[in-house]
Amino acid sequence: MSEDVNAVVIGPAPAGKTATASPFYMLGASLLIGGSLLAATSYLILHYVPLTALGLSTVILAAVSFALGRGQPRIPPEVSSMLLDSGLENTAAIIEELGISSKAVYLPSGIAGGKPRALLPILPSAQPETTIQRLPNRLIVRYGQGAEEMGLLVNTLGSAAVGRFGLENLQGGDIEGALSSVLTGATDLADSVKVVQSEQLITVEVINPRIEHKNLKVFENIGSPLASIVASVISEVTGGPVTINSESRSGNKLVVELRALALVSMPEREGAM
Amino acid sequence: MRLNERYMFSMAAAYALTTAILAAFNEDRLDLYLSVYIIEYFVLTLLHSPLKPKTSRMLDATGYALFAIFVIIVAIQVWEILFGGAFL
Repeated sequence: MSEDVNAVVIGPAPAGKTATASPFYMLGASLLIGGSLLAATSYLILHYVPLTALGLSTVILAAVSFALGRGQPRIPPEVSSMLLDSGLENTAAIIEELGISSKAVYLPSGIAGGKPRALLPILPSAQPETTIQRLPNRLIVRYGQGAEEMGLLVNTLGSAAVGRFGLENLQGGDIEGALSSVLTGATDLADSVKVVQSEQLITVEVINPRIEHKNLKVFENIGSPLASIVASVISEVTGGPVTINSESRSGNKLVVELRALALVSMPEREGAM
Repeated sequence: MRLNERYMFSMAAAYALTTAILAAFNEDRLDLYLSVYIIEYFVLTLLHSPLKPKTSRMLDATGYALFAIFVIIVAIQVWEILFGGAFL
């Protein structure tokens, strides 16, 4: 690998604190003490209702602040970045060793052995178009009837992101809502998401993405980490295979164009590799 | 501004504004203040959903507590309308 895998950085720069030391917890404790004292003194001594109400509203804000503190990461983001780097490095090494140049097909959990994964056909000419059978939970799989129709079934960042959010929350929903839930809610990786769909083409605009990276060679196969998450979520929502056509970054938004493949389900092959 | 920060900021702003407006009208019913705060809590939480699962669970718990307070306030008002006089 010629590219610098360590260039992948999750931003913005983290403080590296645990949840208990989160600023939200400190804020919550301050608001709770201040609000309680204000409400008590205003009610019992000053007998002034607006100040009492202000104290009570501060207590509600304290509860909200504690709740937001619970959602803060428990491990430093640098550690997450290192885990991401090592995972990408392993995937890149396997793809490079096998000389795979084909684009990944993102498969939903129903087809890919329990969780959404990316299928990388070993031969570019054997790109699956309409027929993908239910695949076994293995690294090397046969996805078609032909002898050349073999590929790698790899976990991507999207597999982890979708698993973290919960598969049952995605299946059968609308694409924009699901992407918004995962990218802005569960993972806080972007500010908002817009989706335009015309037949099989799906264009996704991710506003203010917070994963930054250089163009690594492996991204030509599986897409950038954010595009990978987008593809995995769409695959899970639609229940069919999806490929990343292109992705481009302009200003504060990432535009990912994907293509949904028509799916013809086939029964699981016994003894598939 | 991130979703968490936007949520916290908008709720603080809403509460401060509500208190200022009601105080300007010389409102001295504590239950009215609380009712408006609780409604604002639910509206703003809904507008900023979805949040992270752990955050959502704790906000849900807070929501149950606030809803219980709201029900008690309404029950007291109904009691006073039906039977007259102050409840306490």
